[in-house]
Amino acid sequence: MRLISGLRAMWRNIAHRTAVERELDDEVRAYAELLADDFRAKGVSAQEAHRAARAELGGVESVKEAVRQAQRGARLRSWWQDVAFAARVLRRSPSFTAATVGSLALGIGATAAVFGLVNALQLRTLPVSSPENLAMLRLEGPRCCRHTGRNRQVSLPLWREISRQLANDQQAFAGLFAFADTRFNLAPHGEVRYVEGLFVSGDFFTVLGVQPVLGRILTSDDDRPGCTGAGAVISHALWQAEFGGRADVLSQTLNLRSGRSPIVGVMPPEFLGVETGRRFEIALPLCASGFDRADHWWLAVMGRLKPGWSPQQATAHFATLAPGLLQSASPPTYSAEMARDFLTLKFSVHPAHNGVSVLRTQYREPLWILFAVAGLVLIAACANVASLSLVRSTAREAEFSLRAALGASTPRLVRQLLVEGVVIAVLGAISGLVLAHFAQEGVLALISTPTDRIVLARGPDWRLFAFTALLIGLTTIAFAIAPAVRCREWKLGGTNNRLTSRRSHVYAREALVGVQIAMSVVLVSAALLFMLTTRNLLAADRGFRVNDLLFAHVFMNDTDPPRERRADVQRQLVARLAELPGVAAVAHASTPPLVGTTWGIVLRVPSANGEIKAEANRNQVSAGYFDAMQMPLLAGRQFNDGDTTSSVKVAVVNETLVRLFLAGVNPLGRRIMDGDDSFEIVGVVRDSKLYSLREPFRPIAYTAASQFAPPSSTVRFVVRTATGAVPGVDGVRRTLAEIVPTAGVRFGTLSEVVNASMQTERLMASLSMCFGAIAILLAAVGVYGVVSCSAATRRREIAIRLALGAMAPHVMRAVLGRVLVVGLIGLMAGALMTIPAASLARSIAYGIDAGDPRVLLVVAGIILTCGVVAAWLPARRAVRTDPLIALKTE
Amino acid sequence: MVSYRASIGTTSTRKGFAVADRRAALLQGTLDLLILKALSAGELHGLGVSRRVEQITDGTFVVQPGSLFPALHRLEEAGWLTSDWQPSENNRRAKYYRLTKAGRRQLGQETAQWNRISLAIARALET
Repeated sequence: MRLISGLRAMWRNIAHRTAVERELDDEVRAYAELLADDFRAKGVSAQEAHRAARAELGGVESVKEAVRQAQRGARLRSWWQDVAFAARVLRRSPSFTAATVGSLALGIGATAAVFGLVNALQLRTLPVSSPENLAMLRLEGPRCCRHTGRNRQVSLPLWREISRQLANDQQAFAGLFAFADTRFNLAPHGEVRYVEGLFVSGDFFTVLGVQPVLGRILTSDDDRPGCTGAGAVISHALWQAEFGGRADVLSQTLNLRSGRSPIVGVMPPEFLGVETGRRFEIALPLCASGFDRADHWWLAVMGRLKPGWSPQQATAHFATLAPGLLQSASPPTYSAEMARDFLTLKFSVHPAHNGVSVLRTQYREPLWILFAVAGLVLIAACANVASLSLVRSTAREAEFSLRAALGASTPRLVRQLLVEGVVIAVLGAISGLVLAHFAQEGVLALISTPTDRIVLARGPDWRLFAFTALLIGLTTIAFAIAPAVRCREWKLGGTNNRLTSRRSHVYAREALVGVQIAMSVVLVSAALLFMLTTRNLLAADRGFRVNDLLFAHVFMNDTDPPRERRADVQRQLVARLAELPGVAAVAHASTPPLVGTTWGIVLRVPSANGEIKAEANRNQVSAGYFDAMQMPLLAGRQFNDGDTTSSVKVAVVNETLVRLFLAGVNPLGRRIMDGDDSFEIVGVVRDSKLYSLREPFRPIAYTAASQFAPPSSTVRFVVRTATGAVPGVDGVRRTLAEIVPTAGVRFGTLSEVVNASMQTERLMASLSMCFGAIAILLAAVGVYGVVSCSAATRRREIAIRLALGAMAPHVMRAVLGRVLVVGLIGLMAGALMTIPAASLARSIAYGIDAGDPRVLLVVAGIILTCGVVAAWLPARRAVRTDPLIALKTE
Repeated sequence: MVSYRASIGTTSTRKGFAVADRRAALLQGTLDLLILKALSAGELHGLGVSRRVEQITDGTFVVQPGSLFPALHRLEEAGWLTSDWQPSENNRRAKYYRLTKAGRRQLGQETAQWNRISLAIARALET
């Protein structure tokens, strides 16, 4: 009751301030008049009665003020007054406000941008019911998963075993599901139009607990072995983009290259799948994939743990189930040795509340490094703002002394300063968040490629709010604390000890400049390191020429052309494509560099002392491949038309394979074996990169596509165009339409792929360059400020020295001396800080040691140059001032 | 509610609420109690409350406007008093205060507490 009436009063006091004030005024005046009436009744004259009433009242304003103080919400109002006052003060000095808010916006923006990405990628949980019990079931073992990329670990037969176990012996999971990411082609023929998709087991949506906005989810009834025309669930985004959000979508059919699928349901907009950084548009049941080979590892398994089960307990539980599961799913195609290895694999269970992500693993380190780097930028920004606030607090000494003298208590003055600090920090944070939004867009654009768009859920969530609030608090403390401490000096009314206070304040500013310089050293070293890494990767020897190479991946139907004609069609295509104007050479390969699918083999090389077995890579190529890639042949011959299915199988190997397995012998004429195939080595080709630019050269055995029949329905062409020629996409498309009109095609250039493969490096290089530039800018402003301030306080001294005949350079040395010492100390501190920073960055650096002293020397050079320029400008101005004018103005 | 137990020994810093003969320390909350008591007989305007307090304490307490108004507003905001504008006895407009139900309850509680405390202190001083 009392609380409610109190709140009502507070609302009235704040919302209806004018009415409350008017009534208060009326009331006090009425009191005065009643009092005067009293006096008059006692026989006092009218004039005298008024005077006596006023005297007894003790001042209308002071009574009203006492009431205001007692009113509910008075404290709130006084805080609000402080904020309003702070806003007025800041508006009065726009340059100070712009400089501080700008610095903080850069610092907070950098930190919040990176935190937003860390949050989206590492911390956010999946938008499903109780994400905390989700767990991932993985296969692990010493020779596990050589053939797997991404999350693919389990074959369809193994998954069927696991789900059968789920019904029988398994106790850890309340539900399990399997899924695989894939792409679906929406274009029935011609140039492909891919959308991201999922193959999911029947329980996928049920276990995740996702409800459709339209239609139904897939169930285990949809996922029957050998299903045809299985239903598809589509994403909200696809529903909007392809079907205009119409409700009749449920009567539509998706015309995929793999077959027609009726749409049975639409997912809610926030559900993007279970992989962070990737979204799905279409989900089909596993049975629609047709991949049921026991040695085809393509599924990931996740599940929901039963209450009370930890991932560790579940791992232990699965250890007892593993032998049976693996035994029954062991691929019949495996050799005895591989089967033995397969049976030693173990299952492990990992928490998956935030989904699975390749991106997360790929960017874990880079993001944390960037986070640390952004933190340094924030520290440098805070140092800058602290330094500016110190200067300003000196300028406002008179104002604060006056307010202290008028009775403002020290806590009240400190509060005022803190409120000003908070206002600056909040303004900085708001502009920082806006910056961060655009920065994140930029980062996502940088790490996305046309074929691999990265989508992160970045909406506001409590972590981001908490983090921003934390930043505001920390930055306010960081820069408002120094002036607040100095409040006590003003309270003492100390204009007398101005000299000492000023000196301590110069020390503080110099220390802040030292901090800024140290931060810049670290940041600029990081920028330089990542720039060199990018340059080294770009300049690294790849073994083939990157420019002027077009990829054309052709996807033929299973039936048209018929299998037996495929080889003819391929030959025809190569011949016709080679005739196109501007085309220098055409070939195809199973694994074109950086884009093909991995084809790891266990190579057997007979030698004098038995058989060598080793892992190698195989690439099945057409005759002109080495010419098209411009990979020089070192010995022997290339493949030619004489290599046919009936001739002896031949291979061309690369230098690394020779070095590893055939050292010291002439490789030509030797035999190598892969499975049942035996090849005679007929040539040696130069090393080249296969899957990524960073990896060392791998041993590669090239085999002739013409010796294997029937060829696969997917052909990856490489088309070398004449230098400067327009990539003949149109020509290739026309030729294809003439020869195999039903085929799909996807184009790309090798240089695009090379660029895309350097996403992480370019991200690190461009962001750290931005951060480094910001840090240098802030440090330069700091140096400039300290020198011009100290020159201003010493103007009189400088003027006298100049007037007495001192040489300008000499005086300048005196002005610059201190800041130079501070700068050198900062440089050294920064150099020390790069040691732990280097160990962080080592995993990303390429072709350069993260702790290379030469990098540090260059950085020191850059920062010293900037610092000297920033210090020299105000110093020169100081000594150029006419001593007479300087002394007069003093 | 102001606790007497907690405030024993503190001096009232409100200017203007003074014992008539000299500015003596007074227990905080006493003013509130006296105002509630003054209004228990019926509605009064500000000056009326002041006069009534003076009267019922035989002139021992003179409540001055600088403490009267804040106290009246505080009590009203707590929901113990309610007010409206009425013509006064000599035909001026004045704001009249009246006890609410909650105010009457509060008066009862505070009176009981005050009696307990004053009894305890009187006993303590006798021994």
